[in-house]
Amino acid sequence: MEVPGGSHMKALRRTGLVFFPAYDWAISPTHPEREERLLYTQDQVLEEGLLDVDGVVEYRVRPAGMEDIQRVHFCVPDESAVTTESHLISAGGCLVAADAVLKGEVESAFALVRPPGHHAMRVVHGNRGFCNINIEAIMAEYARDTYGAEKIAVVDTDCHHGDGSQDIFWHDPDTLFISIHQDGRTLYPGSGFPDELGGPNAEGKTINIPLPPQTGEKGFLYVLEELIMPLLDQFKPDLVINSAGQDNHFNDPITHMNFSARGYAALNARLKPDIAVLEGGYAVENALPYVNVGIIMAMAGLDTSCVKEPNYEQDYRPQRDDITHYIERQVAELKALFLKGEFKKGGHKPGEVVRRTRDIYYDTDGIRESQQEKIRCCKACGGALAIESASSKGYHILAVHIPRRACGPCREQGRSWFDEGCGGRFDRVYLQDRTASTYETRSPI
Amino acid sequence: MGGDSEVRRGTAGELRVGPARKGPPVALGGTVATPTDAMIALDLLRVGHPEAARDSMKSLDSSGGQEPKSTALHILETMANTVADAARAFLKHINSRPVYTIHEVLQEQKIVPDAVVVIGGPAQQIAPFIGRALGLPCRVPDHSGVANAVGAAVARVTAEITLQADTQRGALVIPEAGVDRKIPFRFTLREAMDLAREVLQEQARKIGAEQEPLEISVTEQQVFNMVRGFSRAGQNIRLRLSITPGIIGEWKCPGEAI
Repeated sequence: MEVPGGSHMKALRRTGLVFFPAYDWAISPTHPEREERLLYTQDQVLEEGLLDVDGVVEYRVRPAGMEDIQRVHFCVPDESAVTTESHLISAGGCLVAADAVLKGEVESAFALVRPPGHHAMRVVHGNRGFCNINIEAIMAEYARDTYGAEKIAVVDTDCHHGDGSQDIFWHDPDTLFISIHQDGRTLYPGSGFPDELGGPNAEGKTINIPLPPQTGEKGFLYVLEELIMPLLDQFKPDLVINSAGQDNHFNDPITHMNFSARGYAALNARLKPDIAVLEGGYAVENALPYVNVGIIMAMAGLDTSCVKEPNYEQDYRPQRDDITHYIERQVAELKALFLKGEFKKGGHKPGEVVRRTRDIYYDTDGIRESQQEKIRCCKACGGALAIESASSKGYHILAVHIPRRACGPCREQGRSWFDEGCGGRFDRVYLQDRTASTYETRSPI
Repeated sequence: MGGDSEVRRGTAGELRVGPARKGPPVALGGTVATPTDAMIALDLLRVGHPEAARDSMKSLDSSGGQEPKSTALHILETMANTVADAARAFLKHINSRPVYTIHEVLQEQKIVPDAVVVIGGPAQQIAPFIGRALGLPCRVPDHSGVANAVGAAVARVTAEITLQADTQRGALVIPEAGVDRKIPFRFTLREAMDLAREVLQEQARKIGAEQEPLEISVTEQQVFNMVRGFSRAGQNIRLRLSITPGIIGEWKCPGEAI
């Protein structure tokens, strides 16, 4: 691959790059999430001279603080038990990207950091799908508190369903979460179907677009143009975050999609996210270097027609017709549901408390968790939320979340759930009050 | 920027110092006002024709009512602020250099200066202004006018090499020394390090390094497992070594140590 012009290129859009490959961290020596995952990407970025392009600025990472995690998560028993330095730095890298964009130093930024985060849910007992803390969610809440970005869209283009992000934004009417992924019937984590469309106070703000295995360039770009762009136009976000997983690539060893580096570049150029964050992507030698170069060049507004994997001509196959037809039907249905608002509404009354029960498996750490969740239905805010969670590690906790801009009754409801919990049988009771930016924990027994 | 830099008025009427040099100071026969003229006008420096220096200050006075000394002070303050801005930008650059390992993030050492040492031709005269601009105590060592040249003369010859070894492909390269050779699959980090030291010493001697023994710094050392499927197929070893910068052994500093 050769980039014309090399270091004499000038970016049309100023682009921030936060690169943190964590060369001294791995889940295990041969695990896909290991030290050299971004090594070849760094080589390729340097070789193409992208850091010498006028208008591409590299930033230094910093670790995120406990307060940054506590805006989003309930860590069991606490943050230090479920995170390592690498998780804090990866999350902190996203905060650096947010600072660069929201202070206006650059037009957009790409946080090329690891480990990833989009499988980490609101309650964290350990590692799921290579993730401990949700780096996009931590960035989104930081952007809200620090820069007043209210309406945020998170577009997750990782091949796996972003079930952690979905869980965190499930009840938030101010976040539009869109996940496009390989159909959950064929891949981890097995979720992400169109009927998962948000909690009672945020119906239609979670949108899942499962795609069949072997979806190619044509299919991804069709979904983007026909569905995702109109959804964003309708929502009018202050900030667009792209969870830019790169495992839809035809060379990826753990998925079955048929996307390419030039496809990723085209997707980015059309979506124009304010901030892109690396998620998955495990073809560390024959996909990531080209996809990342493509994304950086697209963000900077450079010509990406030269971006191509060495084995593209030999191994990339255009999308099959039956897949094209399947996706067209799928998109037509989703358009009716979410663009025209024809999805089935829960019909809950304000003040009603709605419950759901879930079992969650932490594949990396082998932990089982069962949750009982209750939310106060509310027209005025995201609603008070309480989660009772018990894990196979033996913890039994109650976590109460009062959303930003919560109304009076929801604040009161949250407080009273917390007070009740403190007199109860829990190992730990948490109160995350986003109206007051406070995080309290008690250990009743 | 130096004592002979051109001083002029910018488009908004602000004073600008440098970066061009348009000949010697007016006090020494030139035609364009310089910081040296400002120093002479302030009586910080006694060379040339003080009257000519004062006249050159008047020529820069747009309002016509300024004392030559006040214009001269303003020039030296402007010069010191420019130097201070550059120093601050350089510090920021060093302190925000990207790092790629957890170790480096946690080891983070910010450089926060607690004093300024000023060297160069007009060091004595400009030092107090630079100290004020940076808000730091300021020192001017003996022989400040030639300190840079002395430094260059007594500095060690240094060299740097990078080694990349790929045990799966059985290849090792050190581009700076034109080394490109085959290695066995069992090639280790230790062997790579021994070879790199040997090649670096050879390189350094070729360009004139003389001290014995050569002091070597390892600035980068990384070993990555290369995985095919889910098992190790080889190792990727990356080293960067350099001759540690410093002062040649024979040099004995006669004056105060800075």
